[in-house]
Amino acid sequence: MKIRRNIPRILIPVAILVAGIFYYVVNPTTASLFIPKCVWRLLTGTQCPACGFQRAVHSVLHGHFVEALSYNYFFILSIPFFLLVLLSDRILPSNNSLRRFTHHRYTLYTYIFLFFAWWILRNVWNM
Amino acid sequence: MPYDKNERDDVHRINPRPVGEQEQDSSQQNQSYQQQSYQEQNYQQQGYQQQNYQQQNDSYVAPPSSNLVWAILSTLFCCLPFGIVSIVYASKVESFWSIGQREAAYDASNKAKKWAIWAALSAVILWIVYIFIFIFLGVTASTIDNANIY
Repeated sequence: MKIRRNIPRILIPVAILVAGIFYYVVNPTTASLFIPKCVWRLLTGTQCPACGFQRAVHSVLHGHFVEALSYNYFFILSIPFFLLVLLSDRILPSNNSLRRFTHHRYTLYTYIFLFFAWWILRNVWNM
Repeated sequence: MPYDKNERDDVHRINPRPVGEQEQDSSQQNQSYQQQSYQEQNYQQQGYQQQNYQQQNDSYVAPPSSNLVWAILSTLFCCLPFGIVSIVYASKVESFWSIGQREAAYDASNKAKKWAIWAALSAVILWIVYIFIFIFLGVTASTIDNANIY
């Protein structure tokens, strides 16, 4: 039981480290094989809301932040919101006003609405 | 259940005892605790009173983890919208907790966790399926060599 509980604490940092090294070395734009491809994109030909995050990770690891954003503009909104959720849920769980904001249903419904809006808009304007 | 202990704290707070009397009245104290749990059973049989009872104890207990971190992460990295289902359940955790429906809050917490895991797993499974199709059908790299596909 104790070992089972500690598995995520060891595995998650190791996985992040391995993925970081992998995306630093491999450029998803040029390496066509052995990189997970978006199944949605393969089947429908349209872009999904998360398309571009591998290229963005590669650019961020090489210090090109603006280029990373250009692959997926939704990261302007989603990554700060994710950090807020992480802060309110794991790091400062006693901060009730922050927790109330990030877990409020209007906040989350807005996020879901923007998620689908981004999904449509990026395919309309080909972003 | 995480709130059993806190209910006992509640009893002590309502009826504070001097230190000397605690050993003498231990049997009586046990009895009063049993009465408390018996009352609790009565409350659970009656719907609206159960809510009142739970609302009184809300300040003593932390709500269950909404697993919102995993829900947001799965929408960030996985193409499929299962993460959205997870976000919806995660938002229900807090609102159920605020009106005192604890079982529903725990249920929503577990469902949020389950859907976030399935969002991640389905992406992995689909990728494995894709690799198998890629190998068995012998699709060449040139036919899908589109840089925008990742």
